[in-house]
Amino acid sequence: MKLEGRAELPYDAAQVWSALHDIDILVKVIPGCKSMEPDGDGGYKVTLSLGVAAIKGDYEGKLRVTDVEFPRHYILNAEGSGKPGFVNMVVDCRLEPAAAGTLMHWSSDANVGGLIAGIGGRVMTGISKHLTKEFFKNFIGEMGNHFEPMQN
Amino acid sequence: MKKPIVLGGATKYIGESRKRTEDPQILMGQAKYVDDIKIPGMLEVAFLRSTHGHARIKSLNLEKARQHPDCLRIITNDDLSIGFTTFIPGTRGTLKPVFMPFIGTGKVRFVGEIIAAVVAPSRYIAEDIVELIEVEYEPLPAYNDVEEAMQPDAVLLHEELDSNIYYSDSYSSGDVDKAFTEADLVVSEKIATGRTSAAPMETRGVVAAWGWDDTLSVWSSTQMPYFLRTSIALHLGIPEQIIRVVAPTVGGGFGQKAHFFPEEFILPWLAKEFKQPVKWIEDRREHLLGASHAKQCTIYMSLAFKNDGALVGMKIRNICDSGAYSQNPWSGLIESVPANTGAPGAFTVRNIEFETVVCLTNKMNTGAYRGVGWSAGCYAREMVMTKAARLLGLDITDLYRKNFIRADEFPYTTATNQTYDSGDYHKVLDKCLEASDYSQQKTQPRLTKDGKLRGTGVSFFVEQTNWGSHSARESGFPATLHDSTTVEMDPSGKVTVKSGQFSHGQGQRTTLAQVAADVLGVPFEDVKVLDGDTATGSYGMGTFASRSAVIGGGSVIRAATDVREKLLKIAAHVMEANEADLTIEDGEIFVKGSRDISKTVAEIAFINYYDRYSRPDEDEVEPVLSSTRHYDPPAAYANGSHAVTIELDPQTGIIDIKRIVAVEDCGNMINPKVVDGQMRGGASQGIGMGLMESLDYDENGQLKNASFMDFLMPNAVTLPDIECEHVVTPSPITEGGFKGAGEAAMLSIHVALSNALADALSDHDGTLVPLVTPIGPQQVMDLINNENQPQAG
Repeated sequence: MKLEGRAELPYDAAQVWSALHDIDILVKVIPGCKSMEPDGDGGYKVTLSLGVAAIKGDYEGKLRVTDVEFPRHYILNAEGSGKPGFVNMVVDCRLEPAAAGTLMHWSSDANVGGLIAGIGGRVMTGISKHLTKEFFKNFIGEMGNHFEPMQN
Repeated sequence: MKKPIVLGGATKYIGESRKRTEDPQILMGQAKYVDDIKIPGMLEVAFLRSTHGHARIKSLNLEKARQHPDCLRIITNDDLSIGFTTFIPGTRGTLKPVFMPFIGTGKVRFVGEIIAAVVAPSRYIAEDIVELIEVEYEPLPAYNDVEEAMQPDAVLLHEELDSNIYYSDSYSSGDVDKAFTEADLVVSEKIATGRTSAAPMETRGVVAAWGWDDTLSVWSSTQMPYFLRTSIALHLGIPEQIIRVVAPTVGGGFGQKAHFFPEEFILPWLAKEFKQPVKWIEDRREHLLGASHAKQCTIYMSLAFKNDGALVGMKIRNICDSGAYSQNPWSGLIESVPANTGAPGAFTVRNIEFETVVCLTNKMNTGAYRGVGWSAGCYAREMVMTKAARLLGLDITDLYRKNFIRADEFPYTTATNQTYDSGDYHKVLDKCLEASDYSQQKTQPRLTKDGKLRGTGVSFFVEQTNWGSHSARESGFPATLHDSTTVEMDPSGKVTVKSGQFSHGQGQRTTLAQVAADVLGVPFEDVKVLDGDTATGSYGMGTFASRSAVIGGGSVIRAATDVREKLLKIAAHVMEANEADLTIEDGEIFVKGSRDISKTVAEIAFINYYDRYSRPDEDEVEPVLSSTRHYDPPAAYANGSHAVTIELDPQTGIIDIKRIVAVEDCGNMINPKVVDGQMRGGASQGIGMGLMESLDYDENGQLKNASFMDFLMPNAVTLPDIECEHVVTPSPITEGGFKGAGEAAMLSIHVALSNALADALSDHDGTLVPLVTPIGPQQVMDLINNENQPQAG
């Protein structure tokens, strides 16, 4: 499953970058995220509890960031599994300065398996869009607690 | 070959459309299914199934799961370490044995493969415990397409095989090259038929219990109770006589339950090992993932014609998508082998060559489903013929008539060595065309007033029926199949038919009783049929493959004839009459032409059992009013035709079926109403196969539509009426003149629908012919726009 999108954020790229790499912020803004801890191997152990339709359930997974080019680009590699199945996902994030702050382009490619694939396939795109929207809504809200938004 | 028995006297019940005696119990909710079996102390089983299409199991951690307070047992392959190897000795071509462990180990090969079984006080708890099992997978490349899986550099599903192909065969008859060189027209296409599931209303399910007397009882939703008993005994290593298998009411099988599945071994194993009753009922997702699939073939079909429509040559390459293993007992040969041996269909073509390939992919195994092989094979041939008819400026019915085997040519041996016993194909086709107003329909404008495109299509099929050893061998598939029936008369003169067949919707508790009542001359109500229980039946292979009316009916005729003869011997002695002068009607034995001197069947039966001094000496006639007879008949070939009128919405691609006419010649009918039921049921499933159903795997081997939310099937509300007509050409080689009828429509209705679609589109482009099933709205639009069509290499 491939998805892509972009979000305009009223902060400069360095601020966005630091927020996207701040565990405390991420735990708060990732929908259903319960915990995120360094795994001692450069990545993170994550637990999620999602309550949406066919993907409802608890997940345990790993996050790893690669291809880092501060503050413009990185790739997020995520894998997780739980009762509803498994998700392996690669998210390509690109930040570029814009008049209103920073434009974030992202594209993801996900493989899903198990119950999620068999039952939820039909609604996966919708659910993913919903969760992405939640993420950015939370993210923008949380950034306001840490940084002053740019004024135009 | 012994001559078939000619039934004496009036056939009062054979041929009568009686209501089925089994229906009231089913319709009023009284019938008991596997899920209704309750045993005190019964535990439930849930399975951990693979979430990957193809992966090594790096680790399997049961620790957390075992700590669950209600976890009673968890078993893995370490506990069983066995499985089945599917191999049919004597098969033509090269067949390699394929091993399937009952519980996967080392690596998994399809999503849904069993990795562990959990036993707990309830299914809910068992499912919770399954979630606690930790599996680490190392994914491997998964194959969805046979033509990728058969490449020399493809990753092997089974390392012990040197290829993902486990069966290949080629055959040639006549002078095919000459036929193609001298042909006026050659049409070559690639046809791809979809993967589907029989998806009966009742899913699979097993209950197993070990008795205090060291016996094993197994209840399974199966079509083959005796075969299951033998399979359990062989794999469990216990004597067969201590096992009782019961198939209670079974809510549909359609071939899918004519297999031996891992769950049918694991549950008996658990019951034996732990001496506690266990139960597993398949849920719908498990069913779509883990009950055998069917009908997916990739077929390259070239047909050579003369300008007058004569079909002079056939070249076929048929590749069956077997899924991850070779399903026990039929193997993946079940599709492409009968498809190719049945390729000539109703036609006299003498020059034919074919190649048959069976290839492994990362999907659930392919198994039997109504119309095995022929659903795909007939579709491929008929779609190419439809296109050829267009190119020759002829109607498909002209091609049929030109190439049909004539009624005076039977018995007719085809170019693939199948001997057709009887038929009148011209008569059947004419009846179908007349009943459906075919020629009048063809003159109607395609475009209707409301912007729809009207189309009419017809199809004709020959179906090999009554799968016994002979039919199987003629299909290129030398399985041993036969059946026996015991007919027994008790002291009250009532009759019990103990059958090796098993009615799970076919109405045999009615039809076999009709046959026995007719042969014995007793009232229908005096006959009871017992089936589905190895403790009360007679060894047989079960009900599948259009076999039960012929084989079950035939063995009843034989056994009942024996009982009738004994009864008449005793009656002759009692009545001081000549045995040859006596007859039986309505439960009364009398001298032909004079009912004044008579005894009831009940009187004679009672004398036999309880009046030593009135009946003949036992040296002359043993006082046993029963007979067990076997039957393994020669193959009988049924035939029929479907005509369909549709309206196509060219904006959406949706096909609306306006009318279906079905004509069938299955020889003498025991109960025409039951035959109509088979015709309608088959047509309904055929509409699903033709227009809707497709098990949709992605490139990683994930089944994307493993629920009825996404796997579309027809239902009673959406189905049109199906008008049934009959032509009767009795088989000269089977007892009773019967031929089978169960699968027929699955060879044909999708062909007629696709023909009707081609007709609807003919004003747009005369050569547009669908080459895939299912042909849903998207496929219709693709066809119109000439996109995503299979490309012939």
